[in-house]
Order: sequence, then C-alpha cells, then structure tokens
Amino acid sequence: MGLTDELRSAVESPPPQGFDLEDLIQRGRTRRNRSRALLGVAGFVAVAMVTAGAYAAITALRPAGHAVQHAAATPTAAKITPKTTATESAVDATADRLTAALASLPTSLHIPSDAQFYYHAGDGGTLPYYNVHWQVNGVMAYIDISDEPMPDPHENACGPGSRGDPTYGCTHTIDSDGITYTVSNARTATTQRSTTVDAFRPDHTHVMITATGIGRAQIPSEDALTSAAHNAGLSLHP
Amino acid sequence: MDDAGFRDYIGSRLDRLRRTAFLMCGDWHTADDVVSTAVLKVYQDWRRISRMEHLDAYVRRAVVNAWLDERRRPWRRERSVPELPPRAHPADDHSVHDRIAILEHLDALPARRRAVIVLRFYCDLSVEETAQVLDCSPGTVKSQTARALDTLRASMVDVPDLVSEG
Repeated sequence: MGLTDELRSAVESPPPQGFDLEDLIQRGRTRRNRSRALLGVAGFVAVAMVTAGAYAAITALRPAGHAVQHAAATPTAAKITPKTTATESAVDATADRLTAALASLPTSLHIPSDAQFYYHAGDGGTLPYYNVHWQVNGVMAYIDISDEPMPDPHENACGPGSRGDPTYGCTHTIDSDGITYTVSNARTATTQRSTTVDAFRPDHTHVMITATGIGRAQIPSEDALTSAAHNAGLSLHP
Repeated sequence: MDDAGFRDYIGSRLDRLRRTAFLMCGDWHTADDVVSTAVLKVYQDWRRISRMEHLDAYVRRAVVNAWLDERRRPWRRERSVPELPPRAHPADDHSVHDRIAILEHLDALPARRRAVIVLRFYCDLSVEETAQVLDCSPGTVKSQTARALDTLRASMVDVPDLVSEG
C-alpha cells in the first residue's frame, strides 16, 4: 500500500466529532462582544477624563518607570485616542520588562538579542499570556508566562493517574521556588528531543519553557531551563 | 457578521480538517481540540478573511499552528473521558495494525516534516500550496519532503519517488 493510501486508511472510521460548531460560533460571538464592550468602556472613560480637564490624572496612570510627559496644561493639548487605555499601557510595560529580563537567562538558551515578548489575549479557552519564541541552531524554544495560582501541591500530574505521553519522563518538585514539572524525552529520543519546564511560582506567575531539538541539535539542559523558569525577572508581580 | 457564510464554509470542510489534524496529532481527542481552536480563530477573523483568495490555505495554516502550539504542551494532552467514543465501523486486526504503523512512522518525524507529509500526501497539496500553508519557501517544502520520505523509506513505508522535484 502506498503512502497516500496508508494515510487515507489511517483516517477511516473517525469517531463522532468531539465539539459542536454552533457552540464555537456562540463562544466566538461572546468573546467578540466582550472585547467590544471593554474597548467601548475604556474609550468612554479616556475621552471623559480628557473632556473634564483631567490630563494630570491620565499621566498618573502610566506605570512606574515611564517618564511623565510635561505637556501643556489645557486638556486639548493631550492627544488621547479612545483605544489608548491604562490596561494596554500596563501590558506593554510588562512585555518590555520581561523582554529586558531575557538578557539575564542562561546563555545556553541562545536567546537572540532581538527576541521580544508579546502579549496574547488568549483564545480557544486559554488564559492571556506573554510569549517569546526563537529558533537557533535547529532548536525551537518558547517561553509562555501567565498569571495563574499554584496547583494543589498534593496533586501530581506525573503520578499514576496521569495519562501523559509515556515516552516522556516527568518529575514533580515542590520547594521555595514553587511547584515545578519537568517533562522531557531528551535522554531517550533520537530524532527529536523536547524538554518542557512548567513552573508555578508562589507569586502566581506561571512560567512554561519548552525547547525542541530537530535532528541532532542539542537542546538546553533541564537545569538551564529550570533556572530560566525560576528567574526573578520573569515574574508578573515584581 | 456573515455567520451563515462561515457556517457553510467551515461545515463543508470540518470532516476533512479533523482527519488532517488527526494525522498530525495521532489521536482524535487532540485533533478535535486543535480543530476547534483553529475554527474559533477563523471565526474571529472571518469578516477580514472571508473574501481572501487563498482562504483554504489560511484555514489549514490555523490548524497547523494550533497543532504546533498544542505540541508545546506534551503533558497537557492528557484527558479524562468516562468512556471511549464509539467507532463508526468495526475494524479488522490487519487494518488496525496498518493504521497504527503509519501513525508511529509519522510520530517519528519532526513536527514540520510531519506536517509536510500530511499536507502533500493526504491533502494532496502542491509544493507551492504547502509552502503557503506553512509560511515557508517552496524550496524548504521540497527539502523537508525529501528528508521525511527518506525517513519513511528507511522504515519500509512505500513512498513515491520525487526525483522530478530536484
């Protein structure tokens, strides 16, 4: 049997669809309406504050570390558009701070100098998160950072109840750095090696770092990835 | 928002997208997760993309990207279900063995090469169409195809000879 026939044979007799298209459409509508409401309210607030002559209050909303602009006293001198919100400024500032912290991570991660964190509002049911990714010397790497509480320390996703991929080794560590899962096939795989360090920190910062090596490419060690995942500079709540 | 247009477009392609996702993911639960993520993203972008010339490529790219995102969380793939969903038709032992074999061969491929094989030999896309989905050059698709076929050939899979691709 040729390759195409084998592929077609492999997908014969699929089970019933595990999701409902109408449900997805409804989720999409809800998400779209929520985004419009958020921008609409934020825009109204921004315009109302300018109209009321509260330019000083607007500059005070800038996150710490941003230089305060000394503009003219009259409200009409302020150039505030409805879409420039305090929330979006704070997100940008956090992304910049996380990006700056990349320089302090282990050099064995080979993070390019132009790597940059971007904010993702989250879709498909995922939480919002900050992400940076890069590919160097046949190694793809990602760092995702989100605001999440630590899981129950009595639960162990590596334990017998886990239905994770059996080709991966898994460790579960609890210490002053929080709860950390390390999942890796690097010791046994021959064609593609991957290690993920999933760190849930006491300050509600969840850092997940994944490195995947294609072919013979060497991925960073578990120690290097763990050190990065616990780096203070990657906290969402410094 | 043209929900009817979206419903018609996606509804007619959903089965094919699920099967494509299954060949990349290796299991139907993850395939459904990947496809539903991609479909939700396409819905959110629908007003902007519905008149695109290469809409099929866009949708396939959404599926591939959702799968690549999912792969970054290998241990999150675990799911608990009370019972396995029923199969449409009973399968004989020989066909089950063949299906498992090709899925294992695919699983041994790096992610991008697996995607190239599925897009070219299941979806029957050309080199250029595959490059569009994977957002890479046709040359990259050709080289990834050749390396993937070499790996599959070494595993005794009957693969085509693509000498003409150079």
